[in-house]
Amino acid sequence: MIDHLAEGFAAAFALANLLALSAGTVVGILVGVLPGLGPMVGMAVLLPFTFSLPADVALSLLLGVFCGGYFGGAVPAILFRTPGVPSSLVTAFDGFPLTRRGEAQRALSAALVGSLGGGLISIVILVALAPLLSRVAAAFGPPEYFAAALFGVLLVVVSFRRKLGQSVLLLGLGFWLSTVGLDGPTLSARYAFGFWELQNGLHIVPLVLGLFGIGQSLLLLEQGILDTGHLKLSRGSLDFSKIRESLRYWRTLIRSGVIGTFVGLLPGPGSVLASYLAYDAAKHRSRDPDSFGKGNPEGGLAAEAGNNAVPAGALIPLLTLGIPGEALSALLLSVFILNGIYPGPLLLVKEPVLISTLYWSMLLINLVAFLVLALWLRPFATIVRTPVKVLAVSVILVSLVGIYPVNLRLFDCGVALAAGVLGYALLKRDWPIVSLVMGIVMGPILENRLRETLSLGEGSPLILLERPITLGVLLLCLAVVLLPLRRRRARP
Amino acid sequence: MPQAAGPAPEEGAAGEGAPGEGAAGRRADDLLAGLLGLAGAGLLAASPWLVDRSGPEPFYKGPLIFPLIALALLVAGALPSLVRLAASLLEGQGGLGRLAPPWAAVRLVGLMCLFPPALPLIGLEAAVALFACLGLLAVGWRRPLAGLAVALGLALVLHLAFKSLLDVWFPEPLLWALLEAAA
Repeated sequence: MIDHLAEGFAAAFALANLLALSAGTVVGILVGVLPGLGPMVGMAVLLPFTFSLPADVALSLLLGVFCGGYFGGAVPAILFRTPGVPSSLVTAFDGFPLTRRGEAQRALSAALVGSLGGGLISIVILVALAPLLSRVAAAFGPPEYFAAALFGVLLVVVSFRRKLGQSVLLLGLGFWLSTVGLDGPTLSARYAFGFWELQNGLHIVPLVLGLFGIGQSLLLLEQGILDTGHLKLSRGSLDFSKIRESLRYWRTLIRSGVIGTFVGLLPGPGSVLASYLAYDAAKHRSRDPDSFGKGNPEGGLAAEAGNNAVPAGALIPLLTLGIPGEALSALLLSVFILNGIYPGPLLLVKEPVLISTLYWSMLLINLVAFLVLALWLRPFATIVRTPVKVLAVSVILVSLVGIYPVNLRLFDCGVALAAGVLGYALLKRDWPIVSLVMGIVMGPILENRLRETLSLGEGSPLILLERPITLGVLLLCLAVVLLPLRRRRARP
Repeated sequence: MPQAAGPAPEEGAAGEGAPGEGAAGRRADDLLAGLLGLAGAGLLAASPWLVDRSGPEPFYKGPLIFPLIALALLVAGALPSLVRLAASLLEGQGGLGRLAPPWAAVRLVGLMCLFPPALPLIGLEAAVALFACLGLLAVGWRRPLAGLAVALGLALVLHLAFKSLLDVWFPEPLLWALLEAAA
């Protein structure tokens, strides 16, 4: 264990890894600061860059964007009451009133300390919890994996309760898109319509780049530039004297970090719920709950600690079960798979150095993100002024150029443009696009597990009811579906 | 991105449709879901002919079982929308109201459809610079010098990132080769 940690430490501090995680973090902060983009666009745009990189470096790059995005999202939320990422909405509740009172530095200190603290706490929980869950998952066979993956997908779908129809539709569409092309085990062509390009299947990179990179950019064209005329920052960097004040809320920090990690662990709910629950817990535990929403730095600290703990929490089911909880970790899963690494209970045994490198990289990413934002606060805050037209055209071109080298096929650029139009329509109509990405990424995994399960049962799905773990997970699935219905009925 | 004003909503807890568009927005949602649902139903019906099932495997190991489940889910998800659409058509309320077409996005997508063929024709740098300029024009950018600077800057950044740093192969520009051969 110690040897692996030392090897991981050396790998994490290798120059290539440091450069990748720093670059990823800066890109993450940029897309987090810019309202309308967010870490998903950043990760999608950087995805083609990962093909020429070793797995650990590629993952550090994308994890940098993942965590950096949450760090960056707090800045416009506090300064302009416009969250860079959806979860920073909660940070704005107290951050913006503080800015209006001329205490932006106090709010930003609390948010950044919260982000750093939440990130670090969640890494500790990840390191402690992942091996335990992995040991449980070691007893899994194909039926258990199938049931667990089904449970993960189901949680994501039902988390959009009021858009259940759209969520189911998009999940089905994602599953179907993942089946286009040659079927691996039987080498049968599926839905190729006579085109040899389609026989190679629809690669995840153009699909995701199209849905998020191009789709979000097209949507960006309809959003006006922010009013940044009232940018109130007393200095260009963070006032470090305010950090000590934020550390007084260490109890809130730890509580929020734990809440965020466990919300991140659950497939579906995501960072918005994490930051809201952390904020709510801080408010209820506070001696002065009435000050929340009027400019209490503890609120911003709690919200940021909650949302920044989500990435490490989301890594727990991803690494141990191979089940991504939401779109961002689904993208990370695709990087693992593209590098020939299949997350699951054996991953911690087979690739201990990679996992250890990831832990160290996560730690470094949180420190780098904190330092980068603390030192260059004003430049990052003024990036919000970038015209959306320039941003949109640039992101689309970077996406299209990035797709081409993946398979050296112009066809993929066409796929990305088509996915971009679909992504634009879905994002504009506020559909749960996460379900589509989950379907695309989880489709092949679920299909393989289903076939293996049915083969074990000689065609009978009843095998799922004969094994205690699968039966338990299926009962959980049933509860996830039925409980909200019961609650809805109980309401007047 | 809307400005933060009230308590945070639970993710995914918002009602159907983008906020603030009312009945027309809901009909647009239903139309989109209906179109996807009908396409899914068509694929579901045609699946036995669109999937090669010549292998010896039994059905449960074969290539068709999962696509059928996927398409069934798609159609099931679209069913409520299809029912609402049919009902509104019967009542003669099929209009989408005043949903304005997104012309800037349409122009930009139309233009970008030409980018992939231009890439092998004029090369990475020229294609990026040209399409960045044209793209900015298409979305209504009215500062030509700044636009040119953005286009050249973007071409330089992408050249450095993909060719110099990552050593990615891009096709030699066909047009330049033809011009050279002609000269």
